This record gives sequence, structure tokens and C-alpha cells, in this order.
Amino acid sequence: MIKIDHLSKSFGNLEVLKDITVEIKAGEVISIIGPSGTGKSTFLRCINLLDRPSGGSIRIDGVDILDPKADVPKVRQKMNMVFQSFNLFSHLSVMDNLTLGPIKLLGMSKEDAGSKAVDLLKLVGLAEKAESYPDELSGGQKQRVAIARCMAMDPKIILFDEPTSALDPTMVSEVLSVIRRLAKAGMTMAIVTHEMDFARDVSNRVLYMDDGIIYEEGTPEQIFVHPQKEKTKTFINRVRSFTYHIASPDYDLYAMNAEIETFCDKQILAVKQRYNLLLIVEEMLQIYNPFLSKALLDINLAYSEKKESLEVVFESTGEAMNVLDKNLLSDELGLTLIQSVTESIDYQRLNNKNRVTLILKKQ
Amino acid sequence: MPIQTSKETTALIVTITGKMDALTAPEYEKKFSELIAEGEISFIVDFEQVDYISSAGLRVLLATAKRVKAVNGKLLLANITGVVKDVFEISGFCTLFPTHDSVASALSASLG
Amino acid sequence: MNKEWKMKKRVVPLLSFFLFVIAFAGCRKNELFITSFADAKFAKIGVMTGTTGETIANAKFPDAQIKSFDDIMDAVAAIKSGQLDAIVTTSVTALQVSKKNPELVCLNERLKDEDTSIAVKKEDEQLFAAVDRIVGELKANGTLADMNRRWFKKEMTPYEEKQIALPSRGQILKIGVTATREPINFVDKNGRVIGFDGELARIIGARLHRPIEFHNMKFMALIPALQSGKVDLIISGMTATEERKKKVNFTQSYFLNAQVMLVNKPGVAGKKEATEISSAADLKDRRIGVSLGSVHDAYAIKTYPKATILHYKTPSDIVLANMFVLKKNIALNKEVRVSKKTGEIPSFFAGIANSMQSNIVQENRYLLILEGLKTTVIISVLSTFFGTVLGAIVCFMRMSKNAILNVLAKTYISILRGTPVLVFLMLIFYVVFASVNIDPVIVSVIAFGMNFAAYVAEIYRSGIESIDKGQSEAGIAMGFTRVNTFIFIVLPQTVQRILPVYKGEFISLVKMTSIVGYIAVQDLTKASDIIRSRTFDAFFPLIMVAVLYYLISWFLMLFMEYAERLANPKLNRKPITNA
Repeated sequence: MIKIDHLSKSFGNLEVLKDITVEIKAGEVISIIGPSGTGKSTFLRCINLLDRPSGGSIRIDGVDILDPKADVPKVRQKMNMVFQSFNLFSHLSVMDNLTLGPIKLLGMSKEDAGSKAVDLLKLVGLAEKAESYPDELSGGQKQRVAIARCMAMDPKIILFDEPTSALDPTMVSEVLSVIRRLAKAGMTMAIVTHEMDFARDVSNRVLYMDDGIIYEEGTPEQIFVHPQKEKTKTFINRVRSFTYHIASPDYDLYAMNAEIETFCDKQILAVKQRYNLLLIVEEMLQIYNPFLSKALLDINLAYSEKKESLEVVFESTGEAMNVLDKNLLSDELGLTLIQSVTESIDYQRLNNKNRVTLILKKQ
Repeated sequence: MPIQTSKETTALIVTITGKMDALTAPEYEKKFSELIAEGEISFIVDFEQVDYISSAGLRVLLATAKRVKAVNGKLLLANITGVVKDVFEISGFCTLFPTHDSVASALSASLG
Repeated sequence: MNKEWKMKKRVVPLLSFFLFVIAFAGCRKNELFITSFADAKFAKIGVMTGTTGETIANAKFPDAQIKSFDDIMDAVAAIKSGQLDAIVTTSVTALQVSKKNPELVCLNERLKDEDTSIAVKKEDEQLFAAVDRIVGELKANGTLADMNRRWFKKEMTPYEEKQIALPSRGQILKIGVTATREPINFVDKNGRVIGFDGELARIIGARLHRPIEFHNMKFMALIPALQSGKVDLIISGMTATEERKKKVNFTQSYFLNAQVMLVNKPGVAGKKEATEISSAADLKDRRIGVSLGSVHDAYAIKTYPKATILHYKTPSDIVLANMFVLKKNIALNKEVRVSKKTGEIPSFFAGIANSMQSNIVQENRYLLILEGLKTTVIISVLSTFFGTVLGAIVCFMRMSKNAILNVLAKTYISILRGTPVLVFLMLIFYVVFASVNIDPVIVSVIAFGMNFAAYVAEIYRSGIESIDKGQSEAGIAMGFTRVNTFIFIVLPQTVQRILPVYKGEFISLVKMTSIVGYIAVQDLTKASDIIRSRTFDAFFPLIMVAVLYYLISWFLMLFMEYAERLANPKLNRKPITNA
């Protein structure tokens, strides 16, 4: 349906997109993932010409939309966009947001557009908000209305530009479930997202973008479980893990705790698990404390959704020793607490480093 | 430091808010020793608003209990619930300290 | 309900303020009594801007504080409120003022005798010769002397105007006047310019077989108007000074005017306060009004233990109480100041009734006010409309990517915003449209509209720029063209956002129009000037006009608020009917 060949885009001297060739078929759900600033959003915005490509071609059903003669507004009606910042028309009610396009652009009657809007609002679960104004809605509700507004134009494809990035963690799932519903209904979609789990289970195909090109593409299984290329591997790893370096006994516990909490937010951890994680880190650091002046310590948190387990790895330099050795501890209070919330504790001497791996108990 | 005290006839009620972790523990310990130095001997610590406790927090309670005992006083804990309660149970502190479901019941216990 | 309350909330403080002003208007400061020029050495002397009186006063009283006024009635208002000790003006005017204000008197000494002449444009030699000849003839056959007798009367008997038949066709002779100088020239109840000059102008018109048309403007605007061809002759009691002779030609003088000094009549002012309470000591068993909790409160209680102290929340309440309710009390202000006393309460009302009679009823002066009101509203509304449209165009240019349009718009905005409106108005009238016979009301609309446009263009721009870029992106992504995106999405939001600022700009425009008198437009302010020039009532017309401006602004504001409500969709939410 959409065929993109050698697409490139530069802003001044900055080459954001280098050479992108990809085809999107009807009914496909494509996730576009990758580090920030690698042109994912620009790619999406080039497809519907919000940013005009510098080179290459975009063919929709065989028609080159970069042809100066192409009726761009007409083309755009067929591929609507959902933005990160919702962009609901703030002067219009939810109802009018949904009917403006169909009435003015598709020439629908007010009644038809209205009844269609009501159906769509029901679909996204917001029928009772028809008379509300955008500033009276929560972020999640706004994004669901924005999706309904796209649907109102009967597009062939919907482009999602980080639809959940501006949302509170608590509202992400309501938006994702609406998108999942559309995917099930066979809607063609291209989604730029940082929600890896979502990308994995909603899409048919995943494009991993890095440095202005499509670096690796494949099924969700191929990209998330068996990434072939180096950058993809690193990226997939980094999203699911978090590392903190401690080089002195005067480390900033507050800052570290804040980062751990952010990590927990991203992984949508339950309160209890979050508590246990903080407890383990704190107790371990208490135990490590006497050695911190001499050793460097790395704390790595990693969450495996597949196993639903949370793993914490402490890796320290210095002579070989297991800090959790009962003979070295002044009292066992901390250790007792650690043991009570972990499933397993392993000590290894690896690469001249002491590595303690703790796996948290499941819920 | 979020700590509040209110004086009852038989004991001083100490209400703690937030975390009792490695960062805040030294402050609490200092506060308790000051109170003892001022002549308080019986304490009821209200845990209703504590949402996190680590071994560092437990150690403060332990140290305070020892000091209180030395002056023939009492340290009663009240309103220990949720994740905090789990930590108390795991560490066995439940058996070390008399705990109460409410400040009122702790108060009546402190009479005896 | 809500609105009524809101209205009350606005009107009550306003009224109290005006009453406060009225009440204290009569209070005098210490006055200097001048009986000869020698006394005026360090006096505060009022003169008319651009008149020979100004030059003479400056030369003769170098140590005095000379204050310039645009019109004689402003100076009279000032001397009555104690801000001036003397006024230098022409003998004819001084005579008129003292006739209407018994407390003012004219000194017998004369500062200077001056030739009063008709001014003609330098290039207009033919007309000059004709008018000069006519003046000579009128002087020779005694017409001028007769006019002198009929117009410059010492007593208050009515003027005897001679009817002069004028041709109805022919090239119109445009006469520049400042018709605020009774009896030289003034506006009568029918809105005609009459007086000595008025009659002279008609005689000249008749002799030249040309119909005449008066252009009533500020005195200082007369010569520019003549030079730019807006008028053909100036017949406005103008003195032929050397300075003016450089710019225009003067005919032979048609009467000899003297500059004289108008001063307070000795003893008159002091007498008034002497009756009831003359000093603070008299207050001891009176009822004294004070502001609650003020220093005066404590002071009054301490100093006058026997007096009844009445507490009021605001000074205006004290004034109200003082005037209407508690007949025998004294408002204690700043220092223990003796305010209005018993006997004056009825006379206060009588004064108001009197002012109403003379300023509104007499000679159907309300018609003048209504006419002025109409002009003010017309100019305000039309220039707002014009400015709004022009502003949109300028804004479009300003935001355009085309560098030329952009620079043009920027230049326009910076020039218009950097020029005082009055200067701009006069420039447009006397320079741009100098050779075009154009209705000054249209010129006003153009000038104010252009000025308004410069301001609203920037308001529009900031309004448009404040709309999140995502809004238009969403519209474009949906398939709207850029123009339609602007119309359906950006514009409605911009309007909603800028209306409050626009409203303020609009109201300030309404008030700004009060300067159109400079180009001979008879608006509300000018109407009050004309009335004041006849009645020499310092305060009443001003307050009346202030109230009228307030009411205009208030009504227009109501209208704008209505528009604002229309623009805000949330306020007219309609229930959506659906399944």
C-alpha cells in the first residue's frame, strides 16, 4: 500500500534520515523502535509530508505523493496521524473534534458525522465525554479521543507518533488497549513507540531505526528475542535494564533511589515489588558500605517480562570475597531481610570481579 | 525530619512519617536519645504513616529500646501494617517489641 | 441579577468619586490677591497657548510661573480652583469672563494693544486684496464700530445679531475659527458660529458673493489649516504678530484688542468660609466624621472629647454623609480641614441644578452634547472596524515569509506605535490630505484606524503565535489545506485568546478620540469645550463628559463581553442530541 524508496531528509546540514526503503502492506501493524534522536518521528512525519522529504519517493497505491502535482491534503485524509501531544482542537468539544474533518473534508452531513462520532467514542470508551472539551479530559482520554478523531476520517493507515510518551504511567495501558483493539480489527498502522512489550505483542513487523536508517527489521520475535546486529542487541538490553555506578561511600542515595523508581515506573512494577527492590538495594549497600572506599560497585537491575522476574546484580572490584558470607557480617539482620524477599542469591568470581546475583521473589 | 511528638500522661507518642531507611535513621536515633536525655522514659511510636523501613530503621528501634530499658521505661509500637509489618515479621522484631493495633491500645498498655 | 450587581459595583464607586470631586472642587487654597501688575511678579499666571498673551506674559513677568492653557475656560477653571492667581487674555474675553464670574475682575492696566486681523494664505493674493479692501470699507462706513457696540457689551443684555443674506451657491469660502471665545466668536444654540467674527465672516462672504463654511478648531491649529488650504481665511480674533506675519498675510486690523489681566476680586474668596466654622477650635462639640481606624480617628477623639465622632469606611462615604444626611457635621480630613458647612448644602444642590440649567438645558445645549456623542461613537466604531481589518492585513504581512512585506509591516508598526496619535492625526490632516477636501471625521477614522491597526496587528500576531503548533499540524495531518487549517482551527482559538487584550485596546481608542477637536471635528470633548466656553462653568461639563465617556466605554464593553461569550464555546454549550 505504501512503498517508500531511498527516502532521505535533512534539516540544514543535519542529515536525519539517510536512505530508507520500506513497504507497508494493508493490514500490517508496524512498530518503529530505536534510540531517541534517530529519526523515527521524522520518518513518520515524512510519510504524510508534515516534513517534506529531501529525496527518495513515497508511493501510495502506486501514486507518487512527492510529485508536485499531487493533491497532498487529499492524500493526508487517507493517512491520519496521532501525535505525542494529542493535539485535540482545544476550541472544539470532543464531538466537534470528531466531526470537523468528516463534515468539512468528506462532505458528510452533520447527522451522519455525529452518529459516526458517537460510535467511535463508544469504541474508545468515551461516549459520555462527547460534550466535554479537551482541557476537561485526562491525558489518556485525550489520546483516545485523538485516535477516534483519526478513525472518523476512515483512513487507510494511522500513523502513531509516540502515542504514550506524554502520558502518566497509569494512563498508558488505556491508550495501548485501544490501539490493540484497532490492530485486531485489521487497521493498518505504523507506530513509533518506546513501549517495547506493546510493540512486541501488537505488531507484525518491527523496524529498529538507528542513525537515520532502518538498521534491522523483522518479526517481534526476531528483534526482541534474537536480535542479530550489535546495536539492536544493546538497545533491547538497555531498555529492560538499569545500571548505577558507585565509586565512593558518599554516593547519592536519594538520586539513586529516584532512578530506581523511574525504572520501576517504566517496567510498571507492582508496589510490593518496588518496595522489595528498594529494600534489597539498600540492605546490600549497607553491607557493601565498609568496602566502598576501596572498591567500585555497579548495580544492575534487569526485568525479564518473559520470566516475570526481577534480577539485581552487584558487581564489585577488589579481592575475591562474598560480602554475604555470614562470617564477615556484624549481624544478620540485613541478610535476613534480603533472603526473605529473594528467590535465589548467587555469588561468582567473574573477570576479576565479585558478582552477586539476586532474583526477587515473584508476587 | 518528619517526626512529631505529643505528650500523654503515661507516655510520649512519637509519630513518624515516610521512610525509616539508611538516610533518615541517624536523625531518628538522635531524636530519640535527645528525648531520653530530656527525661522521657516511655514511648509509643506510631507507624501509621511509615511506608518504608529497612534494617537501619530497625536498628534505631533496637538501640532506643536498650536505652529505654536502662531507665526502666517502655517502648511500644503501634499501627504497624502492610510492607512495614512484613519486614517486622521477617526480622523477628514482632517478638522483640510489644506491638499494638492502635495508639489507644498502646496507651492503655503503657498504664500497666 | 448578577449583572445588576456588577453594574452597581461599578457605578457606586464612580459616583462617589465624582461627588468627592464636586465636593472638594469648591475648597480653595490660599490665594494671592493681585491689584496691580506689580503684585503679579511671582504669581501663577495662566495664558493661552500660541497667543500673544503668552509672549507678553513671559516677557513682562519673568519671575512668575506662566502656565499655558489651550482654552480660556480651562484657565478660568484653574483660577477658580486656586491653581492660578491671574490670567492674561484679551480684553474682550476678560470682559466676558468677569461678566459670568463675579468673583473675577479685570485689572485696569493694559499690557498691550494689538491689531486683530484676518489672516489669508500667502499665495492667495487675490483673496487677500479683496478682503483687505472690504475691511477698509467696513471701517470707513462705521459698520465695525456698530458691531463693536452690539457684541462687546458690559451688561448681560442679549446680543443683537444682524441677519446677513448669503448666497447659497458659488465657491465656498472656508473660514477657520476657534469658536470658544465669546463674544468674539462662539457657537449658539443652533450650532452656528456667531459673535463679532461670525458676523464679520458673513459680511465678507456676502460681499464676495460666496457662501461660507466655518471650520471650528483649536487655536494653534488655525495657521497650519490655512497654510495647508483647509481653510481660506482665519477670522478668529487673531492678533497680527511678527511671527505669524512670516507665515500668512494679515489684512488691516478690524479691531484693536488689548491684552489685560484677569484676577480674583479682593476679599470675595475669603468671605465665603468666614461664617460658620472658621477654625479647628470651633469643632469641639460638633459631630465629626472620620475614616474608620485612620489617624484622624485617633486625633479627633483625643482633641475633641466633647464632639460626636462618626466613623465612615471611606472618604467618599464621609462626603456623602456630610452633604446629604448629617447636616451639622464636619468631615475631618488630612489636617483638621474645615469642609463644607451647613449653609452650603442647599446651595450645593442649587449649584447642581443651576449648572444643569446652564450647561444642558439652556440654548438646547444637550443637542450639542448628543451630536458630539454621536460623532465620538461613529469615529470610535468606524476606526475600530477599519483598524481591525487593516490590522489583519498588517499582521498577515508581518508574519509572511516574504522579506519585503515583512519589513514593510515592521516599519509600519514601529512608526505608528512610535508616533503620538495627536501628531499623527494632525500630520494626516494637514499634510497628507492637505490639498484634498475631505471630511475631518473620515480623516479621524483613517488616523485612528491606522493607529489601532498597528497595535492590533501585534496583538493578532502574538495571539496566533501563542497557539500551539500541534493544533495546526493536527489540522494539516487530517487533510485540511493551510488556509482551511487557519480558518477552522487557528483563527477561532486566536480570537478567543486575544479578545480580552483587544477589548482594552478598543476602550483606549474610544478615549483617545477625544483629541479630534484639533482637526475641527466636533466630538464629545469638543462639545464640552464649546459649552464651557459659553458658561465658564469649570467642572460640571467636564464631569458630565467624563460620565458620558464612561458610559460609552461601559456599553461598548458590554458588547465586547457578549462577543467574548460567543467566542468561548464552553459558555454556550449545547446539549448534543444523539442516541
